[in-house]
Amino acid sequence: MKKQTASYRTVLRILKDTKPIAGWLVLGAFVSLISVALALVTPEILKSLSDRLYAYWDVARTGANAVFDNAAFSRESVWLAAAYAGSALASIFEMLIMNNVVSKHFTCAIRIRMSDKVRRLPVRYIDTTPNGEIISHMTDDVSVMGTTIHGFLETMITGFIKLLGIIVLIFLLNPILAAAVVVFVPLSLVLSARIAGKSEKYYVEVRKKNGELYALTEETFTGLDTVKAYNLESRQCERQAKLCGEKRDATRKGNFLAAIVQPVVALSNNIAYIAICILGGLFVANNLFGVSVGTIVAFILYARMFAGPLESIAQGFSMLQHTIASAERVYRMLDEEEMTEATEETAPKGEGNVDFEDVDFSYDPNHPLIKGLNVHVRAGEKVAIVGPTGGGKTTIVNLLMRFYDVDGGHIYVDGKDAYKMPRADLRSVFSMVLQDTWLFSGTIYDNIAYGRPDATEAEVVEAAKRAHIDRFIRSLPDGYRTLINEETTNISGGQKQLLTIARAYLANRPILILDEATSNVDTRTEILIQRTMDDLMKGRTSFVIAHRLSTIVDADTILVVNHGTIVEQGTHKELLERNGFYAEIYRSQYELLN
Amino acid sequence: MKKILPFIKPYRKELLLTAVLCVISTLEGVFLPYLMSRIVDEGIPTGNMPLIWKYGGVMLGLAICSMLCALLNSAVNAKVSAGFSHDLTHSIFKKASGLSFETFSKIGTAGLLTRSTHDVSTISDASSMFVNVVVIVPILMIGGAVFAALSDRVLGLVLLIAIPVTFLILLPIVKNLDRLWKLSDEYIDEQNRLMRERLSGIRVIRAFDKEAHEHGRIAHATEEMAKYIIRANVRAGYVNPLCMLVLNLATVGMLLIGAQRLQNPELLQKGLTAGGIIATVQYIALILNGVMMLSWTFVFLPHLKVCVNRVTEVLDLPDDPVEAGDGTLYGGDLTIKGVGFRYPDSELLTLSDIDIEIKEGETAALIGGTGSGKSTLLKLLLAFYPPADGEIALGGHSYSEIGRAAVRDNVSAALQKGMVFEGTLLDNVRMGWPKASEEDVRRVLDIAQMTEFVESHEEGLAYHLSQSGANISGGQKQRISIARTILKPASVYVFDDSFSALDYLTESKLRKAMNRYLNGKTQIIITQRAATAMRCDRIFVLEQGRVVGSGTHEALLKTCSVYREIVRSQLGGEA
Repeated sequence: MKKQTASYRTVLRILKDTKPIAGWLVLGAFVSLISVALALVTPEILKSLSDRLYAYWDVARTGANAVFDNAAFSRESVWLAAAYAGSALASIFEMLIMNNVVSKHFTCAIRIRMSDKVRRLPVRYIDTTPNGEIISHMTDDVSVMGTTIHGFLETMITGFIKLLGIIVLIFLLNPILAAAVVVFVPLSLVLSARIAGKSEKYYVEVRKKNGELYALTEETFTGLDTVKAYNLESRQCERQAKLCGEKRDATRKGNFLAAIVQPVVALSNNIAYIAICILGGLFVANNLFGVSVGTIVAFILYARMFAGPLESIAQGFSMLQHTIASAERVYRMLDEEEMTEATEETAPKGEGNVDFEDVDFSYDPNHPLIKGLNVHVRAGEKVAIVGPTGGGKTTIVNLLMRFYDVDGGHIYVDGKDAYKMPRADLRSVFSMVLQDTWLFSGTIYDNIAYGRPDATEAEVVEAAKRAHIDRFIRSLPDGYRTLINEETTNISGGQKQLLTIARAYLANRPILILDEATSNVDTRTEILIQRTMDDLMKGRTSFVIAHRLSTIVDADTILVVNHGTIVEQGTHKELLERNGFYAEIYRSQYELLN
Repeated sequence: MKKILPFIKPYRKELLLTAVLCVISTLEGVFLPYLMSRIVDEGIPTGNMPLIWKYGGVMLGLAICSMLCALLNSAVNAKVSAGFSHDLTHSIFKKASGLSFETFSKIGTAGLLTRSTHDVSTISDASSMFVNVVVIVPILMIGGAVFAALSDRVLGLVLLIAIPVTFLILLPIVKNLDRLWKLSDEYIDEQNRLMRERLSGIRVIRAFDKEAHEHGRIAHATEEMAKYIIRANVRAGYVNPLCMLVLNLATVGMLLIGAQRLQNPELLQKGLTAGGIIATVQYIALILNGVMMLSWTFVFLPHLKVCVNRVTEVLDLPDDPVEAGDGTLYGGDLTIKGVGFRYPDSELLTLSDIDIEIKEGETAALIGGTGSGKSTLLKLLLAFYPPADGEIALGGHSYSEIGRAAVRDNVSAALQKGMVFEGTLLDNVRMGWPKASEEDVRRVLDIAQMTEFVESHEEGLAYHLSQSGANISGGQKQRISIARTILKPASVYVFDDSFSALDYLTESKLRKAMNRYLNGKTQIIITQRAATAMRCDRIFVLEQGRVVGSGTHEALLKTCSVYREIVRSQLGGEA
């Protein structure tokens, strides 16, 4: 019951979202009603035409002199053609309205709202939700909603009215023949729904096997060197054959069940057809109930029309479940709690003083990570964060930049409480160079100028020069206009790192955050990166996530992080004297020397 | 197409049966209106009740018979299409995983993946549809026209003309549909790509306060996308109403012609009847289905052709059979003599004049930056490629003499990425040596510093690793791959950048334990880290595909400037 009210609420919400296009939807419904009305008239005209033909032939075949009213026949034919044409035009018009309006003002609008929502979502949400999931809500789920809105007119409104119209018309024509149609045609739908439900079970299995097959194929191909190095080709082939065989068996059963729907439906439709022919024939022959040959023709046509809306209504209902599930996912994202912005303070002066006071933090309330952290950094100082891989060194950065908010305590930047100002103001005094060299798809120039779109060309070039990347950029055929995208192969990881350094140079902010990882960079580039980073740090407060201890022995404060917690804090000398975890890491690095 | 035929051949008999069953079940659809016209023409005017019942009974019999044929046909068709798909999928996989690296890289991982999954399933789906179009559509069209001609030749002719006319009207509409769909797919991809980029760069974007800018880019892409989706959907939306309209107008035309011909006494004499004309009208509805089916097939045909071509391309690639080894271990003396190598599509030599000699039991390091040729050398050591010049020998036997599979039995390597496969931890380690006991696996995992990991999970060795090890860290992947490597009894153990994701503390512990375990075996450590290389018995410095220095750490510091530079950059002034 609870679930039902929730579904009901979701449906209401979808309807509410269609408000901006409500006028168009009404017009679409109106146009499609015209199309339906015209379509319903055609069997009546055909009935009359058939009666004229039969009446003439019935007399003429005996050799008697029969009169055929050519004028009336032609007139009615023209009416018939006009009804067909009008119905087709109206449905094309409706199709045009719905496609344009729904795509432009409904699905597109929701997608833009979702993109807008991302602006106000906390980093925590984005970190904990797989990117693929957010993207699939934005494309697949929204498009399911669009399809349903689109189909809503056809199935729910037009379908019901068409169905109702047919039932009324055929009962008026002849109740007994009408009963044959109303009994046998829906029977086919019940049967087909039953069978389709059974086949779905196998298709679930097929999709599962397909996923497994894809995963196996992908890992075999991407890890082909490992596969070959251990002579595992035949092992992988056997695993694939097993999955393939299982998929075949499920596919076969699913396909069979899905395929028998059609003959079963055809049979019950045919039974309706046959019943109309036999009963109709008996009635006409015995002059019963005023049934004529034309009535039989009209009934055959109505019976054929009857199945269509029934099918689309059934489909519409099953689609509805699917849509509600999609819409719930979309709305859940749109309803996610947003970040709140404080505005009591304005941007820090930019001197570079940072103070952590009694800061508590945890990603998960059950596992407190940081308790009562106090760090005081004066302008121009260097803070190093060290510790094993995966130990949580980036947590400090997350707090400092307010990607995550502290649970307790305060962070002050130049004496101002970082939590009393808009995040953008706080961030305006920071530059970051991260290990994961994020560049957007666009030109090199735009990427360097990312933090300061108003920079002059001379400033951009100057930043590139200071990052030792200017010469390389000029060596590219398109220079600063070279496009960077997913397929970019002529720019190495090290060069990308230098570009992010140039970006930080140009942004020219008083506090720096550097993740100095240089894995997969050749020695010379590494030296270059190290040197430019050192240069960049001059005169700025810096937070350095250090991977090699040799670069941070001169730091003013070293924070030692392990298992997400800050375990030690002090200068290099203090920490060595303490002979704790830092001393152990330090020795292990140099143990390899002796 | 020729290459696909052998996959159809095993199902010849079934396909023939399908065709026969299809003909029977489809003909019924054409017969019913014919019988109906007989009721109208013979039963009704004379009030012949038994005749009406008789024709009605025949109709019912036909309908049931047709359903039975169709059911049987469903079974056969399901068997054929599932079997065909199975055979093709498996063959492509077998073919692709057995290719030499040289051939494999011609199409590439992504290309082969598409071919063995998406393309194959498109072909399979089409194959079951194909039977319908090839068998059913012509029966509907020809059968309809023939039966119409039975009651009146001219009406049959009109019908026969109406079909291609409808088709001609539909063709231009559906012709570019495939292209439009592809185009709108590209715009969807573009939107998704921008979104993925934004989500992955969320920190940088927020640091520079660029969320509004990124949102603008996506909003624009979404609007563009809507434009193209509308264009494609509108085009497709024309097909059904237009198709119906044309055939409905044909109905009107046939009624008008029929009425004229009915007034000709001569034709009346020949047996033209009202029921015949009425039945003819019904054939149009049958044919309508066929025409629509056919026009949708034309939409998919170009796409199908691309898929078939791509799959055929894989099937045409040369096989690269690897002869199994006999398990002989040739000892750990490794000699690389004057080896040079270039990748098939490259002009430059990746390696040249490599001379390396490593004695059994020694630990050697290969150090150098990216692009120095370290990993390429490993590929030659694993006989993934034959060297262009020179020779590699193990225990005095050249590689060509030993054979590729046997070489891989002798050389156990942990590769750069730290590849793990979907499955249990136990299976992943045991891949190295399927005969190993659970105890052996525990032991090597302990050496790889993974005991803490095993114990922290309830499932222990049965812990399930997801695809590409998405549920474990890079360091854990590397350690699993190290465990797998040392589990295998081999002559030479190679570690390609296998410690890069480990912190120094873990690396130090791991290396100590490993050295004890592999005592007396030859080890080759490929690395960029000076600290990793320096304790080895001998270090070979690679730069631009050449060995520019070899010796101990101390000796190299004196003699090799490249080495000195690496050490200074990584260890600061203290080294």
